[in-house]
Amino acid sequence: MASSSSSLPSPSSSSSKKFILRSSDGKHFEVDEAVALQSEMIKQMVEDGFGGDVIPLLNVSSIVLSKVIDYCKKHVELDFKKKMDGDNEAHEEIKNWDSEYINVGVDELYHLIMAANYLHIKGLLDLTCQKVADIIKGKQPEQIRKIFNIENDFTPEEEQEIRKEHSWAFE
Amino acid sequence: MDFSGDLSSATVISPMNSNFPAFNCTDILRSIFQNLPPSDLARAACVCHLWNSVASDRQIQTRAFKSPWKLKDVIGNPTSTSFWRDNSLGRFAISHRLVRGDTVASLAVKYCVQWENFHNIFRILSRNPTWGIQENLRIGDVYFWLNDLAQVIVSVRLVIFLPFPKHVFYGGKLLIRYSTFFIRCGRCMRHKFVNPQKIIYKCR
Repeated sequence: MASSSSSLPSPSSSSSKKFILRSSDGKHFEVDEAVALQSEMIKQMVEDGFGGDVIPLLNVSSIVLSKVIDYCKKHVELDFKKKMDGDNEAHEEIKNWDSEYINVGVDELYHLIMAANYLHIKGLLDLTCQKVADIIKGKQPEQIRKIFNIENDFTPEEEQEIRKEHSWAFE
Repeated sequence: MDFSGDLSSATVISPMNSNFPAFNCTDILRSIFQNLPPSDLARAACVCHLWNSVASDRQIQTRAFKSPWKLKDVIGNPTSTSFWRDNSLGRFAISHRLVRGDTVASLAVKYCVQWENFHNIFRILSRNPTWGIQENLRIGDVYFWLNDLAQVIVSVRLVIFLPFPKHVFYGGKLLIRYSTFFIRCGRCMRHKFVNPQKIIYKCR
């Protein structure tokens, strides 16, 4: 999956450097430099002179990593396209692709957030956080707790007070 | 309000299931909450202690409040969280007699109340002839609805250009300086959007 190349010309085609990413469960993913450098964390590692061929990503499982790589690949490709074809069309395509991509369950969303945060992929972090915000929007606190499995750690008195304080939001 | 339901549902969650540290991490929560409007932010504050502390963060609240109005800043500390509710800015500003040194932001803090007395805006402007009504008012959107007495209410969104750039509260990309206020009038439906001055005169 990691080595499959898209039909579109990539800014960093065959000649470019490759990185190998190792997931927490020991699987290897070979990616183009441009794809790997979407991650600020990897970029920082490279700038700091990290010499190894294999970059170990201790907090990211292979399932999540392959999904994250999908994101980075597509965005490298679309960024390239944007430069070639002009803004509007590519912008629309990015938007459509992103909304399709992020259409996942809460569990997967959570893992993507964690990975995006760990790898410092700003675009992906923004996308996932926006998705969580969209889920929260219009919901009552009880529903939010249920969806995200959050424990209600207020005492009844505290909760009553805090609900009173924010009562305008429940009208 | 019945809270017994909440407690029982909280106890149902098994420790195995409560595996969302992402939503226990302040930084990530901040990134999430930045995308929420004020009312959702307020409801999120009622979820748990941590969410409450992040959602009650002044910076996050200010940002959510500012963005629809494109405000530059909010000064001071609101006395009640209901200050952050949507639209309150449009409601308060009309009734205040503007003096030098006032900014919309500082007024927003001062008045969390709703005011719909449109006379005042006329008084404000007429007492300060140098501000010139005509130069400073532009008409915007017009809304209609029925009040309790089944009278048709006309709401005109006026755009007021304040002449003192020092107290500008709106900083758009084009450096246009204005804010929008609602003017409501139950009597002069016929004068809806002729011009804002006319509405004010007719209803005095």
